[in-house]
Order: sequence, then C-alpha cells, then structure tokens
Amino acid sequence: MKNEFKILLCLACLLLVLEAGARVFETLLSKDVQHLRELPAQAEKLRAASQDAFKILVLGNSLARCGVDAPLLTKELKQQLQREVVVAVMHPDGSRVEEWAYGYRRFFQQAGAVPDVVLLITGRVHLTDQLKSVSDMGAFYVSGQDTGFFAQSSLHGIEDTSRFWVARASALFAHADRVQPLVFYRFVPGYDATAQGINQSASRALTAGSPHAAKPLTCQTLAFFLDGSKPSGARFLIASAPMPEPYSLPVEVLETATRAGALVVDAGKTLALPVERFPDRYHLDDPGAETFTRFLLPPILNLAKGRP
Amino acid sequence: MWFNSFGFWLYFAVVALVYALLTWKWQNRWLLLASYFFYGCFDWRFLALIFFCTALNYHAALRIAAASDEARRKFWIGWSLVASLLVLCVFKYLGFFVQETSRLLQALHLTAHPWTLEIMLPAGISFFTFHALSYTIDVYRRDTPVCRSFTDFALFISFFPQLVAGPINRSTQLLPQVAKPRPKPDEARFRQGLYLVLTGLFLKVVVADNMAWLADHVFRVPASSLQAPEVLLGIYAFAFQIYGDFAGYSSIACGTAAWMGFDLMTNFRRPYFALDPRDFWARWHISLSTWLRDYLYIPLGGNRQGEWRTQRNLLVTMLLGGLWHGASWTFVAWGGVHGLWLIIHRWLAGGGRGGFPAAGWRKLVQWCVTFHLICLTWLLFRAESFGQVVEMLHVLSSKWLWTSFASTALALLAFFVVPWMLYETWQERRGQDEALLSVAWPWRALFYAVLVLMMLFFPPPTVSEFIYFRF
Repeated sequence: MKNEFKILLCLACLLLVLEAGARVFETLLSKDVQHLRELPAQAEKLRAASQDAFKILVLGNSLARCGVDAPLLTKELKQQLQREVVVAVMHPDGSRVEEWAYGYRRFFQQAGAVPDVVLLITGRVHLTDQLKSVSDMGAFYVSGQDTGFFAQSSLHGIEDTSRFWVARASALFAHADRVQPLVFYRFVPGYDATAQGINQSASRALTAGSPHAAKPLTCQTLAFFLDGSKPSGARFLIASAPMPEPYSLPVEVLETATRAGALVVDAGKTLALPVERFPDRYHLDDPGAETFTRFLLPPILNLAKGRP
Repeated sequence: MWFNSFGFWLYFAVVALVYALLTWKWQNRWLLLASYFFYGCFDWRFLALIFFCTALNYHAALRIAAASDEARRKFWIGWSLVASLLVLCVFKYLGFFVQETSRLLQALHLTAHPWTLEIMLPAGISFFTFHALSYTIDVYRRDTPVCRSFTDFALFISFFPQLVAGPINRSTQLLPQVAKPRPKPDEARFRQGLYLVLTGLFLKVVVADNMAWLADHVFRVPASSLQAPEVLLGIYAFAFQIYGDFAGYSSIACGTAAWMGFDLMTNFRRPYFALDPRDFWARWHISLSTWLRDYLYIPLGGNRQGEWRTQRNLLVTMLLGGLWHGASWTFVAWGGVHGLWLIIHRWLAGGGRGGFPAAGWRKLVQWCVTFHLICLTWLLFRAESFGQVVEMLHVLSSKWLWTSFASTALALLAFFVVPWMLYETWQERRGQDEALLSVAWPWRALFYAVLVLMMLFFPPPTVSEFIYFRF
C-alpha cells in the first residue's frame, strides 16, 4: 500500500477511536452534556407520575438552574395542592429559545411526557430569535420529526446544513468545541477574565458598527414553541429572572406570549433583589433563589388550580 | 466560499471528481466553468468585470502579437495597462481619492460638505488584474507566446485556487500548464497536495484565527485602556495572524492545484526567519514581490543607474506595493517604511554588494531585530489610523504593567505559534520547503494527526474571513 494511503488510514482510525471515546466518555466532558443525557430520565419522571399528580417542568438555562429552588418548589406545591408533585428540569447552560423549543418537543412532548405547567425562566435576550449553534441543535435538540421544519426555517446555506448533519452524525464533531474551554479555563492563566473582556468588546463593537444591530427583534421560534405545545395541554408560565439591574422583557416577547395564551411574570422588572444576591453579578445565590421561587409560587398555584 | 468552509470542500470534491473523468480540452472548459461559479459565489454581479478584464487583455495581447511595428505594439500594451489599471483604480481607489480630495478642499474652505463615494470592492480584483497585466507585458516583451485559445486564457486568469487571493502566477509559468495536458495524478502529487492542504488549513484555522481573536481585541479597544505588554503581544498576535492567514490560503491554493496537476508558485518561505528586509521580501508574498521587481522596479531602472536612482526605485516600488494592499494612507506608509528600511539596509550593507556577517550570536541578534522591526511595520498595516499608531507607540513607551490579558495572550501565543515555529526551525535547518515529505511516513502521520486534532479541538472562538480577500 502506498504511504499516503497508510497515513489517511491511520488518521481515519484515530478519528474513529476518538468518535467511540466521545460517545462513551461524553458525560465527563462537561456537566452540561451530563444534564442533556439525563433529559430522557427527567421525561420518564413525568411520564411515570400518577394521573392525579401535578407535573411541572422548569425550563431555561443557568438562570433557571441557579434561580429556581426545585426542592422548595416541590415542598411548597405539595403542601398547597395536597397532592403528589413531580418537578422535572431542563436547563442546559447557555441555551435559549431555540434549544428550549426543540429540546422540549424532542425530550418531553414527542416522548409523551407532557407536564401540566412549563415554568420557563428567561433573561431579557433569550426569547428572541438568534440561533447560536446549528451543531448543538443537530447533535442534541432537534428530533427526527422536527428536522424537516428546522432545516427549512433555520438552516441557511450549505455551511449550516453541513454543520447540522455532521454534528448529528458525529459525537466527536458535536463535542469538539467543549475541549478548548476545558483546557484553557484550567491551564491558561487569566483565560476566564480575558475571554469575558474580549467578548464584551466584540459585542460592543458589533452593536455600535453593524447594521444588524438595528434589526427588529422577532419571536418566531417562541411562537412556534408556544403554538406547537398547545395541543398537548401544557400551560406556560414565562418568568424573567431577576438581575442586579431591573429590566423588562422586550415588547415583541410579551405580545407573542400573550397571543399564545402564556402567562408572563416580569420578575426582572418587579422583583428587586439586593446586589449581594448575585455573587457573579448574573446568577442568584441560594437565598436569592428561595425568594424568587416563593415569588413564583402564587402564579404557579393559579395555573395548577386552573385559574386564569 | 472560503477555503476553510464545508461548502468549499463539497464544491472541490465535485470539481475534482468530474475533472478526473474528462479529457484535457474538456478539463479546461470544466475548470473555467467551475472557476466562474466559484467567483460568482462571492458576488455574481462581478462576473461581468472579470470577463471584461479577460477579454480586454486577451484582445490586446493578440493585437500586440499581430502588430507589424513597434508603435502599434506600444499602443496596445499602453491600452492594456491603462484600461486594466483604470478598472482597478475605479473599484479600489476612487472612493478613497474622492474622500481625500474632499478633505483637502474642506481644509482649504473650498467646500462645506464632505463627499463620499462608496464602491463595492470586487473580491481579488488586485490579484486578477496583476495576472492579466503580467500576461500582456510578457507578450509585449516576447517572453511568452500569445495565447490564441480564449478558454485557456480565461482559465489562466480565473483558475479558482488562486483567483481571489493569489499566489499571483506568471503567464510564463501557469499558461503553459493550462495549454497542454497535465500530468496524471500520482502518489507524489497527492502527497504534496495533502501536505499543503493540511498545513494550510492548520495555519488558517488554528494559528491565524486564534491569533485574530487576540489581535482584533487589542486594535478594537481604545489604546489608552491598554498596557504596553498587551499592545506588544497584540502586535505579535497580528504578525502571526496575517502570516497564518495568507500563507495558509496560498498553501491550500497550491495544494488543491497540485491535486489537479498544476504547479503554482510558492508564496511564503518561513518569512519570520528573515535576517534582513531583503531576506524578508524574498520570503514573504514572493509572488507579489517578484511581480513588483520584474514589472516595476526593473523597468524603472532597477539598480543599474547609480545609487540614488536605485534608492528612488526601491522607494517607489514599495510605496506602490503598499498602495496595492488597499486604499489607505496607512498601507502607503507601511510600504514607505519598508522601502526606507530596504534603502538603509542597502546602504549599511555597502550598496547591496555584501551582507552582514551572520554567524552565532550575531545571527540571533540580527534575526531578533529584523523580526521586531517587521512587527513594528505590522502596527502600521493593521492600525485603523495614524492616530492609533501614535497612541499605541505612546503606550509601548510608557505603560509597562503586566495584566491578566497579557498572561493569557502570552500563553496562547506559546500554545498556538511556538510549535509551528519549531517545525519551521526544523525546515529551515534542512533548507527544504517540503522537508516533511522526505521523512518516514509514520512521522508524517503523527504530524498530520496533531494538525487534525488541533483543528478539531482548538478552533477559534470566532471565525475570521481571509484578510487578503479584501485586497
């Protein structure tokens, strides 16, 4: 055999071994992957619950993970409703409406694990259209059933389509982006602060100089998400998470949610918490999470009791 | 359609597959069609422009060859030069000159309002104009026979691997390859192509784009908010960004062309190992520096008319070389500084007759000084304005405080750049461009495995476009 073909064969074998490794050890790569792989178990919790139980899904990203005290929520709801309460969670870090919509459909709705209430925790920017990573969508979120629609609505051009399908086929490709942060955050001095600084300066420059910055906000994915969930009977409570500075959800989000019959709690505007409750100036600490969870209880109870 | 995109490699797979099935004449037609499709992917409206430039120079060359007297030959070469450069000037420089004239008139209070003229820059216009001009000049000089096949000539101008960012291939080198059947694909060509494509992709995806992440930040934020180590490391990062970007593109171009049986010109030869400015220009963007030497510097008189004229010719050549890169005074100044440096070096080296003694530690010092002077010129090249250059130089001379960004930048430079430079040191010692191709295959396999894994696991946080597409 010619030498260059031996080399290609070696490279192919190496990639195959890594692909197998990525599939076997993927949960060691990040807590996020571990969480994503546990989603079928979360769905199973809802499916296995008795007919009479109150089922709630906490959906969001790290704002939901740090902001909602799930044990407290379970305890309080159980006490108030006097029936079994099952809480499932889906909060991959850095996710937003695209991941929530397709992830919810794939892991819960299409798997027959429909909650009574979906508690959607969001920040100001997470519910407007802005697809971040087609690779992640292909690898983790979009189900076979939704692929056609997703391809038509969100994959623009050969580049997007290729990334989507390669990520769907290869765990190695899908997880490749996780290696760099894993290495750099651990071994490169000051990487965390530098990356934050660079991203901030880049985003400021983009907002200042790009015509896209003035592009009107749209909520097509949110509308698709809410409208598509209606037939299953799940009711939606959309709550903005508190931040050190009060903020309102964009008008487009409020209009879309209202049109689809979702209940909105603008806690980002109405629930003012002291800055000490945000140790990293973004996420709530435990006492903050307790306050926010208690703040959400009345509207959840209203939905549970079937009140508007 | 960038070389580091899935789209390009899908396109290339289809082009190469069909190409392999065709006979020579049809191969040329197919490649021409594929090249026009490639160019049309950037902006289909400019297909008319490249076709116009091709037809213009094809016709002019035929006229030159058919002319019975010197006056007619001169007329047609003049027509080709003026018309081609006019097209280049309109698309690349007109907006700039309108803006600068407006500024001057405003300063003289002759106009109250600034004039602006925004013309879209066609991808690779400087490259294909220079391709075309090299051909008509070569025909005029009788260095190359006139090409009578329009398809062959159009393919020479638009051959997709080199179309939008070079290398700028000469008619004497590429046209004969177009005009006759290429060698059948064999293991040697496949090996060379694989090496060039993989190293090119590595230089672009891993070195250039990761360095762009750092360099862009340093040149984006106000210089007053930076410390000297940050500016210095930002300039180093840009030096390796532009090298990885452009050398990477050229390498992929040469590799894909090699797979189709073409030999393109080597464009980079480890430029940061240069020991003086002359050495640097013999290693950096070789296809442009030799083009400027053969079609500008030598016709101006080169070094044949005394020291003063030689220095003038050097400066004019480098100033125009700077302007070729873009319509901005910073590019002109960059060319000018290189010109002055070449003149000073020539003067110190005794009129170009001898060099500095280069042995042991002297060589190391010489390399270190040259590398830092090159980096200093990159500051001019990358800066948005002269104001930014002055501010950054001021920071470099005053605010020496080590920061967290500096630690990160240093670590990333060490991680991404040092291994490649060690590899180039090995190449430099062997004195071969493709030394890796002559080592045992398991070493090559190991080297390629590292490149592939780095590309897979260490892509940049944000993808940058190829810098030279803008030129």
